[in-house]
Parts: sequence; C-alpha cells; structure tokens
Amino acid sequence: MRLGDLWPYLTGYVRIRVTGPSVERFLNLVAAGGRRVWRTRRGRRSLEANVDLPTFRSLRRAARRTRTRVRILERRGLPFVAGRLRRRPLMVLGAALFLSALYVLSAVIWVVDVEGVENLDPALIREVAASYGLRPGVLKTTVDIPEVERGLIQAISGLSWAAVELHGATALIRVVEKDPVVMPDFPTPPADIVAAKDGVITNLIVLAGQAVVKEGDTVRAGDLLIVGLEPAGTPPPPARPGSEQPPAPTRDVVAKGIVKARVWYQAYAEARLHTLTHEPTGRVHRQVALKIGDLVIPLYGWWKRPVGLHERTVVTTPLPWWREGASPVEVVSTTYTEVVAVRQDLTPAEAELVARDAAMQALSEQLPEGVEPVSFGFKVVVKNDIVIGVLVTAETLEDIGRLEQRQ
Amino acid sequence: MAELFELPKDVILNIPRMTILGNLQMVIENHRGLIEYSPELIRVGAGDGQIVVRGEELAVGSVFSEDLSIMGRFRQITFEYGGECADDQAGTGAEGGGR
Repeated sequence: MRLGDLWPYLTGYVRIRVTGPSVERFLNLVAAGGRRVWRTRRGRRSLEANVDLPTFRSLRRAARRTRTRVRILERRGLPFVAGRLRRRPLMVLGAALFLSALYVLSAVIWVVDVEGVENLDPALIREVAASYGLRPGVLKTTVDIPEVERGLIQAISGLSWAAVELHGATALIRVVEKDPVVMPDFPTPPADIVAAKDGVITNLIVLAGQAVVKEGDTVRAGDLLIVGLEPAGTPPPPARPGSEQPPAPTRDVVAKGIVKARVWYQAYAEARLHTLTHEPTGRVHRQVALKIGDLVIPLYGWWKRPVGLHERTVVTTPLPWWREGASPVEVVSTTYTEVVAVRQDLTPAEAELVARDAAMQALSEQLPEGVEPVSFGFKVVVKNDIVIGVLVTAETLEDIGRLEQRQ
Repeated sequence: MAELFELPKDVILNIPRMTILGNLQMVIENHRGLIEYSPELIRVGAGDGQIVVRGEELAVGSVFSEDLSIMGRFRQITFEYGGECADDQAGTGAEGGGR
C-alpha cells in the first residue's frame, strides 16, 4: 500500500472494472462531477480503477449515460474489514482476549534473578525481596522498587549496594557485597625483633627492649636481635655473697629499634658461545578446520602440507553463539610459520658480557626495593668451549630487623 | 491582457500546464478530458487541441476535474492543434528518450 492510499484505506474504497465502448468518456464524466478516480489500468476492452465509496454510489449515472457496465472487483479498506469482522464476533472476542491476556501477563513479574552474589545466599536475597513485595507473580506496578532496594540493604548487613531492574517479566536484583574488613595485626607485647636476612650488623639503635646482639656480630635469618623485655620497678638489692642473685623484675614490651647490617646477594648466569635460533622467513601457511565433538572437518588449507622447519600455533575458538556450557563446535585454526635456523657465535669476551648482564638482571630482581648496593663483585666461575658462567655479588646496607610476635 | 498584468498565461488563456518527470510521469493541469486511453497511446484534450503521449505500459494514475496524471514509459509527446499535427511548426514535439 502506498502512502497516498492510506486515507482511502481508512474510509474504504473499491476496485472496479468498467466495460463498454467509451470508458474514456465515463472517466471524464466522473471527474467532471468533482470525483476522483485513481490507479487506473487499461485492459483490452475494459478499464480498472479505484474509486472511493461516495464516488462509487454516484457512478450509476455516468454508466448509464456512457452505456458502460461497472463491476466491483474488490472491496478494500477498514470499513470492509470491520464488516467482515462483525460477521465473526467470536474471532474478535478471541483476539481481544488474547491481547488482554498478553497485556496482563506482561505486567506481571515472573522471574526474580539475583546478580553479583559472591558469599551470600541468593535465596536469602530473594526471601528479603519477597518480604518487601518483590516476588514472582506480583504486578509490576505494585512493587515499590526504591523501598525494596532500601529494605535489602537494611535487612542484609553484608550488602553495600542493591538495585532492582525490571527487564520485561524478569526482575533483576543487582547487589554488591561489602568487602570483609581485615583488621591489621597490631603486635601486642611481648614482641621481639628478629633478623630477616643473614648479615653483619653495622649499626644498632634500640628504642624499646634490650639488645641481644652487638655491632660487628654476624647473624643468620631468624636470629633474635632485640628482645621485648624491659626492666620494671626497682631492681632488687644486691644479694649477699654466696647466695644467688634473684632475677631482675621485667615487663613485656614491643621491641623497637633499627638494626642496620651488611647483606650480600649473589646471582649466577651463563651464556652459550654458540646458539641456534629460529627466525621466521615471513612465509605463513594457515589451515582451518571445524571440530564437532571428535569429528574434524578440514575447511581450508589442507590440500598443502608445509615442508621444512615450521613453528606451529593452534588457536581453538568455540562458536560464540552457543548459549550455555562448552560449545561442542569449535573452529581450529593452525598457523605454520616457516623458520630458518640461524647460528649465532659469540667470542668468549662477548659471551662474558652477555652472562654478566643476565646475572646483573637476576641480581637486581633479588634486591629489595629502594636499596642501593654499596659494592659489586664479578667473577667468571665457568669457562669452557660451550658456556661462560658469571657470578655477581653485591653488598648492601639495610635494616634487617623484623618485628615478630613472641609465642 | 496577460502581459499587461503579468499574470501566468495558463490562468488567462485556459491552456494546459504540464509537469513532466523524465519520461516516466506527467501531470496535466487544466485538461479537457481523456479522449483516448490505451497502454500505448493516451490522448488528452487541452485548450483547443490535444496532447498525445505514445509509449509503453501507459496508465492514467488519477483523474480529477482539474488535473490528470499519466505514468508509464513515454516515447513521444506531441501536440495536435486544429486537426493537424503541430509539432513541426511549433517545435514543441518532444522525442522521449527511448530505451
């Protein structure tokens, strides 16, 4: 239907066939009467045209004067559709019932989904939402969404945010759980400072507690450095000679102090004098196959097998439009990149430099952040026709004290 | 008179005003009725003469007392005045672009 036919469609029109000796005169007569005739089509001895209903009623005069015959081919438009429907009241009733049922059913929430739950029970959230009026089977208009959101956050202490969205017949409750609060461990007396690393103590400042080691001592990781004990009260009077000195009264404290020590690090790396690497030539061959279960159907590139040295990469892509679970249909794409073997030779001096760089790299990964080595030492420990090995040592000054709760 | 008042000539002289879209559609205002109508030839009365459209699949799109529209593939549009073919003298015969 064209746009121009819209109004005639609403008011109704008929397609007529006019037969007779002078259909041209017939058309002129109708037009002269102020009527409109449209979409005419000339046949061998007839003419088809559209006329609206008032025009059709006035055609009889023109037909008589031009001795033509007018037949209705088709009745079109809403009035005729309505007339046909009037003869089928049950169909109208059924359609009305269907539409109203669709309307009523679409106004009801049928599914309540919960999204964003990690530790909480979705059933609990559904239960609370139901107590605030959001449950399957209720009318959408009866649900006070802000009230449900507020109620969820108030009733469930583990929630920090909740939102309810209506998507058609589904209500989606999106929640964000509170992060569990982790309380930092504050050391309580008694707590000692122990060595975190091996080293030689260079500086020792005690702020609380009593030093167990002195400057110049060599300590191992885990050794006690400052003990969390302090003298308390008045010391007992000096004992008489011969009797045992009673222990001085002490109290437990959290040890505090700075223990600077020289710490050594070392790293070893080696470099080969002769290496063989694979370099791509730029030639690439691709094979694509469809994998259904255990069945593999070659799709592309299988008529040619790559010859020579190749690196093979296999990418498996499951078909994305699979709705749930693992897709049994996969696209397997195999790429063969042609490579050539390239031999690389290093002189012993070059290899030593490479090994040194690698060892330094490994060493710098060991160093704690913010600590600058005081000195370095390099030593070639392995040297033969195949490989050069370099050991790097570094010395740093750092605080090795670590607070530890006494059990 | 029309020149004196600078009025459009079609208003005063009662001659047709035609609008032609390529060789596909034509609207004739101020026509004097259909004289002949077939898929190959449509003859419309206009002023003292006739407008003749020849072509293929010609059809009258709508007929109204004031205007009339013709659709189809036009090959030739001629004016016939005073019973003789006037397209040579008037030079208004339009050879429609045939395909």
